[in-house]
Amino acid sequence: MKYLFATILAVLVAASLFTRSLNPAVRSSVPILYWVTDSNPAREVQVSTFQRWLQKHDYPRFDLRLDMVNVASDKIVIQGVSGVCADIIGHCGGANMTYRQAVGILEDVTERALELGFDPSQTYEAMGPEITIDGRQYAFPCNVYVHLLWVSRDTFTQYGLPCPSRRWTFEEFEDLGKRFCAAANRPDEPRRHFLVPYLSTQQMHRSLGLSQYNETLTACILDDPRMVRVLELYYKWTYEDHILPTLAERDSFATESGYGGSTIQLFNSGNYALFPCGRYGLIQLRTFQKNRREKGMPRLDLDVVEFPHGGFPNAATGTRAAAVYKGGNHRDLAVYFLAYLASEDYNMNIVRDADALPPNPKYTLTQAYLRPLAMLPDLTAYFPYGKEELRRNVAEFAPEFYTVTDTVDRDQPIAAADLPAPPCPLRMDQPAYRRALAEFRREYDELMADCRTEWGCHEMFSERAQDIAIPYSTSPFILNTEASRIINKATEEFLSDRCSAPEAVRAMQEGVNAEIAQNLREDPKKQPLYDRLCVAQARLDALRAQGRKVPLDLIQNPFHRRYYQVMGWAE
Amino acid sequence: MGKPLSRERRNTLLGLAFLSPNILGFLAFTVIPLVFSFFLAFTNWDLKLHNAFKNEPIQFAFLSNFLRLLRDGEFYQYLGNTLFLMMNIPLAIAGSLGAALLLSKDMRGGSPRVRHWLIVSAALLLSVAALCLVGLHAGAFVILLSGLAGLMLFGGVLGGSTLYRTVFFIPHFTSGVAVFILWKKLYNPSNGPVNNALARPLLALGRAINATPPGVIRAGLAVSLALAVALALWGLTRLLRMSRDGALGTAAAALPLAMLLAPCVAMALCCPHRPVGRVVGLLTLAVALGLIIAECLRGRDFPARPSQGFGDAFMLALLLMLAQLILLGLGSVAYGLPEQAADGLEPPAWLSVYDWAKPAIMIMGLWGAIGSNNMLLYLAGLSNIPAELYEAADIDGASRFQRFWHITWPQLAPVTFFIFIMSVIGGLQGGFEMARTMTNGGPAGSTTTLSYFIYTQGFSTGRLGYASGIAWVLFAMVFTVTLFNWKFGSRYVND
Repeated sequence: MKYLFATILAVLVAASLFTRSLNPAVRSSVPILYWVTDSNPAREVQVSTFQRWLQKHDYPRFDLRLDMVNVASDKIVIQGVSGVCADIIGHCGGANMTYRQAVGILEDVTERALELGFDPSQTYEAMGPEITIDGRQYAFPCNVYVHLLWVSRDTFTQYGLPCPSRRWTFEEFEDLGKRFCAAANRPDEPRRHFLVPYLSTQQMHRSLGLSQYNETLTACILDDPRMVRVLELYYKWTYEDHILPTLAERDSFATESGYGGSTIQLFNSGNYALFPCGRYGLIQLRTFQKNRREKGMPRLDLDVVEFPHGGFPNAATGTRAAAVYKGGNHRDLAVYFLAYLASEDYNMNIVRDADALPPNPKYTLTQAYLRPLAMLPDLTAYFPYGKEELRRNVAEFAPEFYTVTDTVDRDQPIAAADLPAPPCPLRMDQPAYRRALAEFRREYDELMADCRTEWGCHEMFSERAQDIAIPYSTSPFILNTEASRIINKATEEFLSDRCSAPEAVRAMQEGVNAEIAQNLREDPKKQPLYDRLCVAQARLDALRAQGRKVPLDLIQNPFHRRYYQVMGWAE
Repeated sequence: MGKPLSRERRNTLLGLAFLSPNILGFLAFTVIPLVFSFFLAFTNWDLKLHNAFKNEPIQFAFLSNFLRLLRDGEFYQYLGNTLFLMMNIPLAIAGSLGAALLLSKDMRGGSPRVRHWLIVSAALLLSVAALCLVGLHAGAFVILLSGLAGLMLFGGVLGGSTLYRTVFFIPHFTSGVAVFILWKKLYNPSNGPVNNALARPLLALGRAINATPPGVIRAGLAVSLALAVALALWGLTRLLRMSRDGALGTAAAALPLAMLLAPCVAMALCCPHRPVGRVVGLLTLAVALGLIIAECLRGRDFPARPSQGFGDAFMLALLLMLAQLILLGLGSVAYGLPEQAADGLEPPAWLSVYDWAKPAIMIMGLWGAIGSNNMLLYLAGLSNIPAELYEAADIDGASRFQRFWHITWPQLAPVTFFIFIMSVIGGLQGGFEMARTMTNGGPAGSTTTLSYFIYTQGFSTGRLGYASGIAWVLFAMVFTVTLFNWKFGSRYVND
C-alpha cells in the first residue's frame, strides 16, 4: 500500500511541475500582464492595437492578456487584498473606484499620468470624480458613457405615432406612453409592448432638483416630497398606466441571450419602443442591422432622445475605467496601458467600434465619429489568410484602410471600390481573389449603408456629455453598493405594496444615514473630514436660507455643483 | 548510530505520513479558518481598513458585533425568512417517507398491481398522443410531463424500483446552480412551463369561484380557524395529560405551551377578518388559560423533574404549531379568493413578487428534498423493520393504515428524528445558492437568508468581523438544535 501511495505522490508532484511549465509567465520571454475587464469582443482588437502602439512609441515590450472571468466586484476586492489580482483592473463607475481605493488596492498614478499624458485634462471634465479622489488620480477612462434613450422610429411610425422630441417632460412621456401601449397591445391579451423597459429613479429625482445626498455628501436627503413623487410616478407608470413593464414582465422577457442582454433584443423586435443605453448599444445594434438585412427586413431607423425630465434635464454619465493594481509585480509597465487609453490610436478605435465615447472629447469632433462609415468586417470570411498573413494585415492593412475611411469626404458618394483593397492571400489565385474582393466590397457597401442610419445620433451622446451629463453622486462615508442596496430594497418594498411612498423614502434616508454613522464609528479617521464638511453644509444652508449665493468650493456633490450653477445659486 | 525505531513506532510514523495530506488539508481549510473566524467575530476587522495595503491596527471589539446584530432589524427579517423557508421541512419529510414507501415495493413482474400500472401508463401515453394531435400550445408542459410520467411508469414496470430510486435521487446529485437556473426558467411568469400549465386550470377555477356565492368560499376561513383551534386545544390537553402523568415537568412545559398557543395570538392579530379572528383567538387563549389554571390547581398524579419530557412536548408543539399556521394561511387565502378571482385568477409571478418568492423557493426545496438522502435513509430504515411484526399484524387483521401507524411509523422514529434534526440544521445554514442564483435575495429582501446575509456583509461591504459574528450566532442556533438532539433524541426515539 505504501508503494502505491508513494507512486501517487510522485505522479502528483510530476503533474504539478508539468502544470507549472504550462504557465505562460514561465514560457514567455517578456513580462505578461493581465487586464481584468468585461467580456466584449472589442477587447481583443484593443489589446492588439496596444501592442502596435507600444512598438510605435518604443516603449518597453510586454504581453497583455485579457481576464474576463474575474470581473465581479467582490472577486476583484478579495483577489486584490490577497495579492493575486490582475495587473490592470477594469471597473465601471466612480463608485467602484472609490471602494477599491478605500480598500487600498489601487496605485496612485498622478505623477506618471502627467509624465505620460493621461492626466484628467485629457478627458471630460465630468469624469473628475470618476477617476480622482482628493486630487489624486487612480484611473483613466477606457470609455465614457452617457445614458440616453435609443429610439426606433419605425416602431412609432408603425402605430401612427410621432417620435418623442429629443428633450421631453414627464407629462409628454406619460402621454406618449399611454398612446403607444394602447396602439401596440391588444386589449384582451397580456401586454407585450411597452414604451421603455425601465427608467432610472435617480435620474428622475435629479430632474426635480433632488440628489441622493446633500451638497457636502455627508447625509442622504431622499426623505423629500420630490422623491415621493418619483416613486408614485414610477408606480403609476408601471402598475396603473402600465407603460413600463412590471418586474415580473421584465423577468418573463429575460431571454438573456447575446451581448447586452435581452432588453436590446426586445428593442430590435419592437417590444420596447425606447431603449435606455449609451452609445455602446451600437455594438449590438449594428449586428441587428446586418441580421435584418440578411432576413430582408428594413434597417432600424435610429434616433436618440434624452430621458424625460421634471424641470431639470440631466443624464447619467460615468466611465468604464482602468486602474493599476497596487500589489502587481509590473506596476511600472501597467501605467503604459493607461497612457495608451489617452492615445489617438485607442480613441479612434473607440470612435470606430462605438464602444461608448472615446476618453478624449476632441475625437468626438471628427467625421469618423459623427458620420462613421463602417468597421472592417472579418477579412477571413472572404480571404483565406494564413495566420501570419492575417497578423500582418491587421497590423498594416487595417491602419491604412482606416486612414482613408476616417478622412474621406462624407458629402461625396463613397463606394467600397474607392477604398484600399485587402491584399491577395498567398494561396488564392487572381480570379478567385477578384470574386472575393467583389463580395467583400458588396458587403462593405451594405455596412456603410447600415452605419448611415446612425448619422445624427452620435453627436447626441458627445454633446450631452458636455452639457447635461452628471456623474452619479457617491458619498465618501458609505459604500455605494450598500447605499444602493438600501435604496433598492425600500423601492422594491414600495413597489410590492409593502409600504407607502413616504414610508419608503423615510426608510431610504434613515437606512443610508444609519450606515454612514456606523461607518464613521468603524473608521474614526474619517470623522474630521465629516465634521469639516458638516460645518461647510451648515454654512451653505445658512447662505441658502438668506437667499445668497454659495461659493462653489463648498459643494462636493457633482449634481449640486451643476445644479447650483444652472440655477444661478453659485458664486 | 541512534537506536533503530521499533516496528510499531515506524508504522505509526508511516501512517501519519500518509495521513498528513488529509490532516494538513483539514487543518488548513477547516480548523484554522474556524478558529480564525471565531477570533474575527470579536474584532472590528473590516476589509476596507485592515488588509495588506493598509496599516490600520485591528482592534478587539469585545461583544460589539453581537450587540449590533441584536439591534439590526435586517437580521431579524432574514432570520424570519430562514425560519419561514424551513416550514417545508415536515412536508419534505412526509414526501421522503412517501417516496421511500413507494420505492420499497418491487413493481416488476406480472402481478395484478403491475397490470394496473401498465394500464395507467398506456392511458397516459394515449392521452399524450391525443394532446399532441389536438396541438394545445399552452399545454406543452402538460404534454411533456404526461409523457415523462408515462415513460417512467413504463420503465418502472420493466426495470423495477431501481429505476424509480434512481429517478427520485436525480435532484440530489444534480449540480445545485444548474437546478436553480432550470427552476428560474420554469418559474418564468409568462413563458415558464409552470405558469403555462397553471393558466388554464386557474382560469377555470376563477370562473367557478365567481359562480359560487362569496360567502361559501369565505367560509373556508371559518373552517380553518375551527380546525386550528381544535388542534391547539387537542395539543393542550395532550400536554396537560403528560404533565398530570408526570411525563412533563413545569419548566419543560413553558416553551411548548407558548409555541402551541402562538398561532392563536397570530389569529387575533393577523386574521383577514379581524373581528372574528380576534374573538376566536382570544377566546381560545382564555379557554387554554383556564385549562392550564385548572390543571395547576388540580395538581399532578405523579411527580416530575422540572425539565422532564421537554423533547416530546417540544416536538408535539412544533408540529401542531406548523399545522395551525398552515391552516391559518389556507384560511386567509380562501377569504381573499372571491376578491382575487373577480378579474379571473392568474398564475403568480413567483420569484418576481414579494409574497410568492419564498413559497416558490420552498416548492423547489421540497422537490429537491423528497428524493434526497432522506429518502435513502427511510429506505434503509424500512428494510430494517422485522417482517415478524407485519406478520403478527396480519394475523391480528390489521388494515394497511394500522400496519403503517402502529408498526412502520414507530419503527422509523429514530430515522425520522435524525432526518428532522439534520433538516433543521441544513435549513438554518441553507438558502445561499438559491438567493445568489435566482433572486439576489430580493424582491425587497424576501429571499435573503442568514447565510446570504453573511456573504453580503462579508464580501459586499467588507465587514469580516461582523459577518463572522453573524456566522457564529448561526452556529449557536445550529448547536442548540444539536444539543436538543443529543439531550432528547435517544429518549424520544426509544419511547
